Amino acid sequence: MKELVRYIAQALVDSPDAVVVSEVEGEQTSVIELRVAKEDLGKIIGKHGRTAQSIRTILSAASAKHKKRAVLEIVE
Amino acid sequence: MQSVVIEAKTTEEAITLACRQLDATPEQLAVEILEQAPGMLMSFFSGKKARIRATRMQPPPNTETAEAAQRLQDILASIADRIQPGATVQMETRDGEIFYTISSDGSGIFIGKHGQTLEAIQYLLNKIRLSKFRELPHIQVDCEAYRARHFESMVELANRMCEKAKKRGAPVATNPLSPGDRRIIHMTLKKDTELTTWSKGSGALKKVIIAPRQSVQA
Repeated sequence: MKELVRYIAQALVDSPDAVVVSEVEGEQTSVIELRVAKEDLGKIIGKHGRTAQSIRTILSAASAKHKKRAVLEIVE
Repeated sequence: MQSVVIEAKTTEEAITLACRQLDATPEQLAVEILEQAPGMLMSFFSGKKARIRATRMQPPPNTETAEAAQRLQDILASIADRIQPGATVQMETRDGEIFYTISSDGSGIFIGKHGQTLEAIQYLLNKIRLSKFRELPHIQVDCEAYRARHFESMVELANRMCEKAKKRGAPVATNPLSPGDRRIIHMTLKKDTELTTWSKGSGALKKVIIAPRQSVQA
């Protein structure tokens, strides 16, 4: 899951080296925290949060297979 | 930019010939009529012909864009593989447009409810295209022929709503639909002169209202 988010985030931003992804695992849900360079925050969120929404949609599709929910948090 | 001047009996014929010479579809050509074809009878007597200049608007795919398309395909393949290991991606170019097809085990994991996962993947990939491969045109992502099936079901919906509106003699509304879906409804019912259609609402999702013409005028 972490790898998926990292890959998508790095493809979208201008400074891929600044992308940091960490996972906090819970019993049923794991929270994936995404940090990007300040200038790239807008690219990850998108107009009306559409890009963030798309990443979350893909994440929930991917996590459905693992019978475990994954939640994406974009950390400033 | 490629350009040719063609002479033929009719303008239509000249355009067809131009397409063949430039290896393009009629939509890709900018046509300028240099000399109008006279009427059928006149041309028979005068021997005058139609003359057009056709210019190819989109350059034929070159190696640079082909390479970019290939790299974008690799990115999509990497994403697909991370969603479901073993999934692969094929690329196809039709009329200068790029189509990617994801192949998986057929579980519909890439499609999602109402195609929302497929929409999300396509949206993100176009975002990546705009940031890294600006030279590429808009791309479409498909999986298990979902797009074709969805198109059929939207046409079916349009026809069903059309029947309903005529039977009732009053306007009917669809569920809120995406811009692309609304377009299919409008285009399907455009040729029906008894009906008129328009969109209602705000934001990305709007309803389509299908109404018999009399009910609107009254």
